[in-house]
Amino acid sequence: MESLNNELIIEGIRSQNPYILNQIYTNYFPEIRKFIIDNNGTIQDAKDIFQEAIIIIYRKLKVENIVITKSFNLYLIGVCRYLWYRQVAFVKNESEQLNHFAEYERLPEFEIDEVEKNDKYKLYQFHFKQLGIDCQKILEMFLNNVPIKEIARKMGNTSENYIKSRKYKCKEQLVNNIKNDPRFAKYEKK
Amino acid sequence: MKRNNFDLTERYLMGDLSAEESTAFEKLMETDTELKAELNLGKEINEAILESDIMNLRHTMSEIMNKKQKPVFIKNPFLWPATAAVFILAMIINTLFISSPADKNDIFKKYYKAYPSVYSSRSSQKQLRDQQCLRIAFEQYEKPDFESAGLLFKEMWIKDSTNNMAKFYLSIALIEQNKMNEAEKYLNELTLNKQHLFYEQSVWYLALVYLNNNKPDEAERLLNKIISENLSNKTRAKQILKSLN
Repeated sequence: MESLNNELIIEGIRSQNPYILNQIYTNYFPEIRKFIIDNNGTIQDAKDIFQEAIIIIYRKLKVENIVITKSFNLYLIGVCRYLWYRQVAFVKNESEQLNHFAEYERLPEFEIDEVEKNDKYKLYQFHFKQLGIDCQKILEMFLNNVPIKEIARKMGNTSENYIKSRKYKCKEQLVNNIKNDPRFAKYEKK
Repeated sequence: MKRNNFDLTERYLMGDLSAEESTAFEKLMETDTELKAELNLGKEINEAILESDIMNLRHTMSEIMNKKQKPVFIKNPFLWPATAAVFILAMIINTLFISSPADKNDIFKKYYKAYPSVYSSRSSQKQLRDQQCLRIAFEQYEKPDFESAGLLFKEMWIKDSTNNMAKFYLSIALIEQNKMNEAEKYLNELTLNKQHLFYEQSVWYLALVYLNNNKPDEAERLLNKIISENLSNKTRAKQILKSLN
C-alpha cells in the first residue's frame, strides 16, 4: 500500500487525481466504516459520509489552502465524525448537541458553513442529474452564457424561441422536483 | 402566486426584465419574503448546476467506492510485484552466470515499460474543454497512439506550464517514439522540483533514458538517488546498479 504524505493527498484531491483518490479510499475508509457501523450506521452510510467529506475538503481547497498540522487521517476522521453526528442530529433534532460536538472537534466555522452548502447543493445536483440530458445541456449552456443561437444550433437547429421555452420548462421542472423532495423542507425552515 | 414568483425570478435572473421592471422587482422583494426565498433558491440552483467539477468528483468517488471489490479500473502505477519478481530472478541469473557488465541499451529495454495511464474511464460526458482534452489524450495513450497522445499532452502543458502530469506523459510518449533527447530534456526539468505527483517516476524514467542515451554516470547518480532517498523503483535501481558494475 502506497503511503502518501499530506501534500500529495491535498494536491490529489485538488486535482481530482483518480489514483490518489483511490489510495485515500483504500487507506482511510476502513476506519471511517468502523466508526459509522459502531454508531449504528450502515456500510452505505459510511460510503456516503466518506464521499461527502472528500467533497467538502475539495470545496475548501477551491477557496484556500488547507494546513494540516497532524495527519490527514485525523483531519478526515474529524470531518466524517462531524458529518455523521450532523446527520443523526438532524433526524433527532438535536442541533444544540451538534454545536457542542463541532466545538469539541474544533471544526472551524468555515467547514460548518461548507457542510450546510454542500448538503443543499448535493440535493439540487441530484435533481439536476435526474433531468433529461437535453434539459441538463440547455440549462448548463444558458448558465455558461452560450448564445441562444449557438444553443439552438447544438440542439439540432431548432428555433431560438423553442430553446427559450424549453429552458424555462426545464428549470421549472427542476425547481418543482426540488421543492417536492421531503429533504428540501429542512433547508426551507432556515 | 408561486407560478408568478417563479416566472418573475427566472426572468430577473436571466436579465429579461426591463430596467423599470427590475427596480420594481427589487422593491417588491424587500417586503415579500416568499419572493425573496424564490429568488435565493433560483440563484443557488444556478450555482449548483455550474459546479460540474463537484459533480465529476462525486462521480469519481462513487466509481472508486463501487468498483473497489472488482479489479482494477485505475491501474496502479507503483506496484508491479509480478514484474518485479521476474526482474529479480533475471538479475540473479545475470549475476551468477554472466560475468561481463550489461549493455546500457539492453538494460533500458529490459526495465523500460510505458507508465500506465492514471485516468479513470468515465461514462459521463465531461463538459470542460481541458478535461475533454485530457480524456482524449489518455485514450490515445492507452490505444496506444503515442504520437497523438504526445501532441495533446504538449498542448495542455503549453497552455499551463504548471501541469506536470501533462509534461510527464508527454515525456513517456516521446520515449515511445524514440525521441530520447527531447524526453531527457522534459524529464530533467521534472526532476528539478520535488513538489509534484510525478517526481519519483520522473527520476526513474530519466535514469533509464540516460542509460539509453549512453550517459552511464548520470544514470548511476540518479539510481543512487532513488536508493538513498527511498524513492519508487528502489529495488530495480539496485538491480541495475549491480548489473552495471
